[in-house]
Amino acid sequence: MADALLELESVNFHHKIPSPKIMNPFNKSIGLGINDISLNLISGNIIGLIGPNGAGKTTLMKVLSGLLIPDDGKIKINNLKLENKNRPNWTKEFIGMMPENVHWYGSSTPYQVIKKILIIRNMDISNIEKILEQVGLSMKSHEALDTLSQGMHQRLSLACALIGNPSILLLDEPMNGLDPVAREAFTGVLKNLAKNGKAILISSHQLAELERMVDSVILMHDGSVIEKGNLTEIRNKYGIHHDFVLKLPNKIKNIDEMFSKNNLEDLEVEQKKVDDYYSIIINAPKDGWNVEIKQKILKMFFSNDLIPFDFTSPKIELVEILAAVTGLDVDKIGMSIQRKSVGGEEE
Amino acid sequence: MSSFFVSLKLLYRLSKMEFQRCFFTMRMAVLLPILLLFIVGSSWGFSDRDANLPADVNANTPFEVLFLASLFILFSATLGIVLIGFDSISKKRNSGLLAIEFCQPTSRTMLGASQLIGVWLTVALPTMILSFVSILLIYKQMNAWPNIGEIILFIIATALVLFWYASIQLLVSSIAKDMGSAVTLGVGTWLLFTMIWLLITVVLATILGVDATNTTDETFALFSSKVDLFSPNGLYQLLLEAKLENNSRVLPIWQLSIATICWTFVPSTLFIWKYNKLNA
Repeated sequence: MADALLELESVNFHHKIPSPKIMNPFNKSIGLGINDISLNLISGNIIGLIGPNGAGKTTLMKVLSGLLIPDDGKIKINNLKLENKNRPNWTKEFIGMMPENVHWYGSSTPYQVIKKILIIRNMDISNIEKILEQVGLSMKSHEALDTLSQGMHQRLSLACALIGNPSILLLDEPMNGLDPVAREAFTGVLKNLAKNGKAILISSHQLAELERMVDSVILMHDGSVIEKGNLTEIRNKYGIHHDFVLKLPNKIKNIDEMFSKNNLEDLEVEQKKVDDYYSIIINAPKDGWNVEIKQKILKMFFSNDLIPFDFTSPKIELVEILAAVTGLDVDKIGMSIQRKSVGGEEE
Repeated sequence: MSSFFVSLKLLYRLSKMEFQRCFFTMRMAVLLPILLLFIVGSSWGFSDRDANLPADVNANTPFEVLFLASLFILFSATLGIVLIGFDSISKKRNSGLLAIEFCQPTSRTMLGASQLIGVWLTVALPTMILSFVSILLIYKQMNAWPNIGEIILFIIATALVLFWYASIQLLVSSIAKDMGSAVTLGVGTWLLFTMIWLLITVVLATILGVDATNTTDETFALFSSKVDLFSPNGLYQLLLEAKLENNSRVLPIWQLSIATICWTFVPSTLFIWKYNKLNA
């Protein structure tokens, strides 16, 4: 296995929240943050950091990038252990950070922004166009930031993260504001970067958008990592599988009998009228779906002259996985997220 | 090249960039005519021997004209620093740009120092140029130059007062969490030192038993000069007054030196310290 470029071991960080008192107006209390986080970022891997609002994703990203200094725990970059104080500048050469929702404003242009970052990094400013081309911004390089769309702003943030060719990329909610075409292009760019040996950590609260690009995921809730690994393995571990839905124009009589005849009586089936058609919802088997079962179901329908005009597998939402992993029910998780937001977590 | 010169070159490049960012803005387009009218106009007016100035104000020497013009610098150039600097940290922080800058492998001290120099130069450079134009106009009106020592004192004191204001503004901007508090803190500090300071002086004098009813009284003059050491505007005036004849507010040179050193290093160091601690 490749060496970890960045390692975290039992890292804790808690925000200090101003809570002035009469005798001490500068008093601060310990707020929310991240607890006991351990993870490795490995060269060539794309890891998805998934969790609801207030889970601690942004805080973890900031700790990894050196914007926040952890209260305790160990951090290693390229096998060199760092002290828990201000991050040495050399470590930042390895890390490209794309913060969440950067608001680019003013009359300066993407070209000037990149030039500024290059000057801050004390680098040669001759390859600005190349950097902008990498994220598809070369056509807009001399247009004012105020005139660019949110998607273009996101690309500019990514361009800033790519400056200096860092080996670790931390991308906080990079898909926000991107249209489907741009998302596709963005996914391609990230896969290419990973192919070239970069370790990428990408956060999102939308599971579906990460599913196709990540090698593994880290699930966060309430500031802690509640599960990590391959998404399929996590699903199998907790028995979280999507339904198989077929759409037919007419109602099927004796549907249970049909399933029994084909030795599929273990599957739970429900038939619902939706608008002018019927939806056949087949719950997943305990061990999850495999190709054979789905083929068998489709064959059964066709052999009975029941031709579905559509069949789908609805995506599993993040909240369903969180509910399965935490053991809480969906409503309670929703309330828990609400409580954290009120509490002032910086997410 | 040694690392010191590399750092110096980087500081120069970053400061230049910051200067350009601040200078080519709508705010400066508004500020430049104000500076021109206030600095050049006041020098022209005060140096006119035929002019009837109100409140028995008269300037007999070129340096006295510069001293009177310094009041207009205090109103216009320091306000300019406030306008340029009040949101330069808070706006970047709220927009997320500060986080991007802080992720770069350059020390925050370097970034903060360049920010300070950039904001300072944005107003200081035009002020200096206009001050030299004023000196030329004074010569044209009075047919006399201020002596070289007076010119150096005027230029250095003016540059310093603008640097003090730049440090204070960036410090309050790094404390401010939003635009509202940035405006309040920025303009508030300017109002405190420019408008309210005399009131504070009078209140303090009354509390400490100094007669504040007669502002021409020598005891009050000495007291106010000591209080002025704690105000950038006051110290600026004290530094310039040191070259004036018939000055009743003379303080020992060591007191002026200590106050100057403190005003130069304390707010700027506090700003750099705060900048290093900022949560982006």
